Amino acid sequence: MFGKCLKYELRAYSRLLVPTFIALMIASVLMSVAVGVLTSLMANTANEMIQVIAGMLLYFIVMAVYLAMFIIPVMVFVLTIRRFYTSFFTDEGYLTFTLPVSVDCHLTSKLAAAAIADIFGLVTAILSVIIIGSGAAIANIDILKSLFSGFEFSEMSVMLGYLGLDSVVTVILVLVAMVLSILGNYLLLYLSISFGCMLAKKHRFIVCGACYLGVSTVVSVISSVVSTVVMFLVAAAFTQTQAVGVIFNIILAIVSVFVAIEVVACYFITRYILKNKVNLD
Amino acid sequence: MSNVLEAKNLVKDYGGGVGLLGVDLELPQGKIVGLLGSNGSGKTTFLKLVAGILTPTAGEVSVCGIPVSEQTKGLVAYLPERTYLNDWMKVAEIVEYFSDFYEDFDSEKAFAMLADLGVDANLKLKTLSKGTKEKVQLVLVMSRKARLYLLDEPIAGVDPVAREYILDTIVSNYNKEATVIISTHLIADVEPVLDDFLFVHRGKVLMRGGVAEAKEKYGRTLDELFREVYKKCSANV
Repeated sequence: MFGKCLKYELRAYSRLLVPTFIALMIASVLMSVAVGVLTSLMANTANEMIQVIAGMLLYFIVMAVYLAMFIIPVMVFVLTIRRFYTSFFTDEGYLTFTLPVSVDCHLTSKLAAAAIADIFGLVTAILSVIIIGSGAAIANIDILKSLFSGFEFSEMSVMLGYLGLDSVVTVILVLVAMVLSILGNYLLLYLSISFGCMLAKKHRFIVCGACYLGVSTVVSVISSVVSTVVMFLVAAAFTQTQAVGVIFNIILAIVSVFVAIEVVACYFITRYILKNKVNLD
Repeated sequence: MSNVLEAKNLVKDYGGGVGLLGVDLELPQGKIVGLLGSNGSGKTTFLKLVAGILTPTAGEVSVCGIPVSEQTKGLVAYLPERTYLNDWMKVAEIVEYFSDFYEDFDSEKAFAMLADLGVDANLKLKTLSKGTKEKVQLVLVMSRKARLYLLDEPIAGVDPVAREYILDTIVSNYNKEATVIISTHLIADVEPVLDDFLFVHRGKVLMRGGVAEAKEKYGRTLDELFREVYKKCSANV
């Protein structure tokens, strides 16, 4: 059933995300051409007026790229809220709750779909930047060279080594923390919507928003206190500079454990509300 | 004859008002039962509890001996009085959706019924009128081979021709293993297809029995009998 639920969740996301992706890619290609033409124009003309106009246009394109990077992630955020709310708390809930599917299956499939859509948004943003940047690179290869001229991977590894960072462990810990924080963010949203809809029959968006602010404030206060205490304790135990990497990994691990607790708590409270407290009109 | 539905002291308290006040009920298989009552009498609350949409405040309810759960949702085909379809889907896509989730769903039957009712399967649901959406929902529910059908006001929002088709569909789907509960206040319209009836009022079952037996005993139609019982109850308050 998980696969079937995920299939329809992804279908719901894709009907809006795929056309946006295509539009964004077309816009990126057009902007890439524009960037190529403008940078080439700037490099090959002595006319100041043309250089100023080309510079202004480039500035607008850079701003457009900056905005474009957020289009899909913002859409994913809005769609995730909308999918959860309409599936469980509107008339569509009559369909959702009468399917022979467990609440766990509904919740996990929605989470998985949101995470996949999130990754899709990230990949789209990166692709968009690469396409637009390649316009400038093709027009003026020196720009691309200059971007990487001061960067040496070997230097980076020396720096990491100096800090005592075990890169494999750090990468794994960063990935775990990232996945947990994505899940934690969505589960916090799910919990706030469930809690808000349980409390209110009218003005639900306002109540859900207030719940989100309340719950996220509590979580941030607790996490700030925990992380401060942890940092002091760990820093007191390690005084050598070489131990910075170890301290970093330990803090990362403790933060991950904290986020994991948040994930589990949000999941089971949301699950309880969906199983026992949803009274559809 | 085994029971398809059993309810023991079933209570639903909404906080502000009571939906059901201790309903005890056993329904055997192979019956078309009318759940009859005025607005706010508890008909919809009862169906929602059986469908698993609501959690009872007290008491128990089971379908084919299994307490209401994900498992019973595979045995129950519920038609709510609201339109619950994903508006962004096409009619054919919602048929595929039901086929994916319900093992007992018959897609061929669904498309045949849609054609009978003149519903184009390639249309998006959001372009359909409320009455047509209700027809689609009924088709989806009646295309399942469920053990228990819960139909909440299935004929209230449709035209007379479709009303006749719907009642014919319900009767033609009748089989000895399934039970159909039709909740309505349009008693005269459903009376010809009913085997049994339940009169509900203010969260309680006032009267129940076989339609033929009641007609013989009281010498009235079910509609007339309901009006009489309802008047007496209202006068006693």
